[in-house]
Amino acid sequence: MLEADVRERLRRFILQDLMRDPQYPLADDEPLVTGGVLDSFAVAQIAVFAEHEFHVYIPDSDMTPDRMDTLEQMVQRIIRGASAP
Amino acid sequence: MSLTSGSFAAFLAVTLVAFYLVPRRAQNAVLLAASVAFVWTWGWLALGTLTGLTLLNYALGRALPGRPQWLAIGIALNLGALALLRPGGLAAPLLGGLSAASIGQANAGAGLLAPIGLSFYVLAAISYLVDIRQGIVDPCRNLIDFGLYLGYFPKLIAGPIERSRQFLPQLARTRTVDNEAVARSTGLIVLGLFRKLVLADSLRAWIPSEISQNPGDLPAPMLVLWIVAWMFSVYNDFAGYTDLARGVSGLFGIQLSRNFATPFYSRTFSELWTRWHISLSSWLRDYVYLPLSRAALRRDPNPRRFAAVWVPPMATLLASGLWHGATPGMLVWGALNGAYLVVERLLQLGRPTRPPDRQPPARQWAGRVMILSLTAAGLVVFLFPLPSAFAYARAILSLDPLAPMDYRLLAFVLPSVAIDWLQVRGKDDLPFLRWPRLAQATLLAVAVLVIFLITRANTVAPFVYQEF
Repeated sequence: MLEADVRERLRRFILQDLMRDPQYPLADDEPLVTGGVLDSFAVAQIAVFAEHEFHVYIPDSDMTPDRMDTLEQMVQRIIRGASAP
Repeated sequence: MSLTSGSFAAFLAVTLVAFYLVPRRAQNAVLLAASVAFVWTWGWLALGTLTGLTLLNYALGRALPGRPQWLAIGIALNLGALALLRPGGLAAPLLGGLSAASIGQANAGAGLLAPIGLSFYVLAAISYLVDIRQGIVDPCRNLIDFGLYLGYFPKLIAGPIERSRQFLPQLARTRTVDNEAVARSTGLIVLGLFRKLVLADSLRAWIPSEISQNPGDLPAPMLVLWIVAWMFSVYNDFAGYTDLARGVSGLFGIQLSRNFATPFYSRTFSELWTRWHISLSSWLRDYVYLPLSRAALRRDPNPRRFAAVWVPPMATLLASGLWHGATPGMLVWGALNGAYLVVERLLQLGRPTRPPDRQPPARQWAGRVMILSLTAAGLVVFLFPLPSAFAYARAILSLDPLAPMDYRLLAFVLPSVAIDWLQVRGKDDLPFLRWPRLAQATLLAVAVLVIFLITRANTVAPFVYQEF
């Protein structure tokens, strides 16, 4: 699984489906949950998106603001899940 | 024993001396002994109840790996104990009309089965069992550490509801309490005492006790002001308790979770629930809201479907209401706050989401005022029995703008707003610690003096959330 591909697809999902603003200049390190952009329901949507798109299960315990706050953290979590045995 | 009492100060002093005199490996045992002594002040039966629950959950945790069916049994046993033993619970008639108020009285503990803070205790136990089942944590092998996880005295009365994965590792490692930690702990204790004794108790004392009985006879603007005052009283009571608990715990080198993050500056309801009673909100998010949301989205990823929009927030807030008390009023409170979240989500689905900090200031302030107003409106059913709550709401709606207002209440509301504003601006619970030394010393002296003077005038009320 290519990191750049995961990043691009996840970025598109966040901008189009969660923020409903495709033109928003989303930075990789922008705090999305603690910054009030995404709520808990949006985090659940990302988890289900990761299951459908990348076949990666992210447990609820990993979906905390300190572990899944930025696009970068989400990408790394998906990559880690994909490479797990 | 109340955390604001002189006897607790003496108890804390003795525990601190013993804690720092014994070798590191015996410090946890000292804390457990202190916790046992703390519970014992409520009576032998309360101590027996908590000991039994602790041993039960310890055994369940050890049995869980390889036997997943024990999780359902463990959850049922913990919830059963809560339903049976909590104040006003199923066993209350058998226990002689046990009332929450009686628990707060110093000598009323003897003979009580239901310890203060049982609902906090039960949620911590359930999260421990679920986390073992999900493979997030291993069963705790050390009974002393496990006893502290559930029964550590600073958090026993009303949380924060700690997670084993954050709390237990702190017990295993060497703890350092340096000058900075002492300063932060002392700051939290003073802030907690100020919030509780000066702001919360003064506001409570100023609100007439009969306002829920005949609200139609009282001036409508005052009914509004009293509800706002009550909301700030509940907030400062609980936030004050949490500051106090965190400060006391910090003296032992154990960090307890933050429970409040200036909630009245929230601009949306979803933001409010990340800033109010954070340890309960995050518990409900992890064990109720997220599993329900994921299940709904797996069946249909469309976020506009009924199951996705309605079920998770309503189920979560109804669970929160039930946790506060199995009464019609608490269920209505839960349903109302769930409905707030649903409406907010429906409105959000039709427009772009932008970071709240980047929205125009006027819009941010409008959001804050709206959240505060609707939260205060919901508090009416939280505080009063349903018939009184409806009568209260009707009386408010007959608003007479010419009726006299007693603005003296604001003398205790505005300091709360100001403290929170300093915390928001400083992005710190204790922004005062960055002030010059002279300003810090002056503030400390004034705060201690005000606490001393106010406690001589007011009666110290039990913490509101120890009743849950």
